[in-house]
Amino acid sequence: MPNDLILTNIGAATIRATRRFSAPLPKVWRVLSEPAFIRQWMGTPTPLASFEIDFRQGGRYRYVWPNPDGGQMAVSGEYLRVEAPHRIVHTELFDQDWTDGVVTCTSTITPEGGGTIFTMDMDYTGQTGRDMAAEVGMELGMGPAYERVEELARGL
Amino acid sequence: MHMTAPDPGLFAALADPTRLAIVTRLARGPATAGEIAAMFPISQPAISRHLKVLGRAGLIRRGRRAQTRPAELDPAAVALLAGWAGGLHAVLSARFQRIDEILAALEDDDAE
Repeated sequence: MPNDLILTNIGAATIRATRRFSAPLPKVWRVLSEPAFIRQWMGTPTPLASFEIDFRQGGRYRYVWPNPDGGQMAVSGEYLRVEAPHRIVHTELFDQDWTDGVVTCTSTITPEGGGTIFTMDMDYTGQTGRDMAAEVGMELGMGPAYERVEELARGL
Repeated sequence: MHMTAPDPGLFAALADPTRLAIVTRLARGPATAGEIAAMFPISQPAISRHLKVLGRAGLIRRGRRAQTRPAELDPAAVALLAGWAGGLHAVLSARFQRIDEILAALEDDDAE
């Protein structure tokens, strides 16, 4: 299995991200759970302007990114479940709330060969258009209709 | 992490299972109101109303053939929606690549 990121739709309101890492599970767990590491990868591609985290069940976090226009973008949430080294459930809500409500993310970390499979289900609880639009966008952009999008985009 | 979200009007127009299904159908190519109506257990006038909502949101445009006026997705709206979803992919991809780098550095530490 290659290490490419795969996004798929599960049901009407869940996006599943799947990514393989070549490193063994204990190392992947460290990078996913230790705040010094989280700060590094959460600050990609844009370094964080502010970082607060209490990585434990019931703990909260808040990340702030600077925006090119001088403003900022921030997300915060709570760790609902932390079950080392296999499962993390956390909520996330952007200040701008473009997801129409809290998104619940369930991350599952399992060994595979010498590597590790990371799966994160992002459950968009809001039943309004944004999550549906993400679904349509994903289907158009990444599914079998991709060529159609390219064709349409070429015509712009 | 910069995702430029499309106009909320686009989402509002899509926040309906029938309209979402219509848009998904039109992703495969243009169709007339009659052709779309044949796919759903609802009347053609109801389909026309849905097409009007999608048209006002800028998601679709209607062809010029007088009688049938086939509907098609507006390329700009499609590119916007696809780009938005693609933005999620780009952001997560970048983060996971960073995790690869961090992991590679951990491996090196162990080798020393």
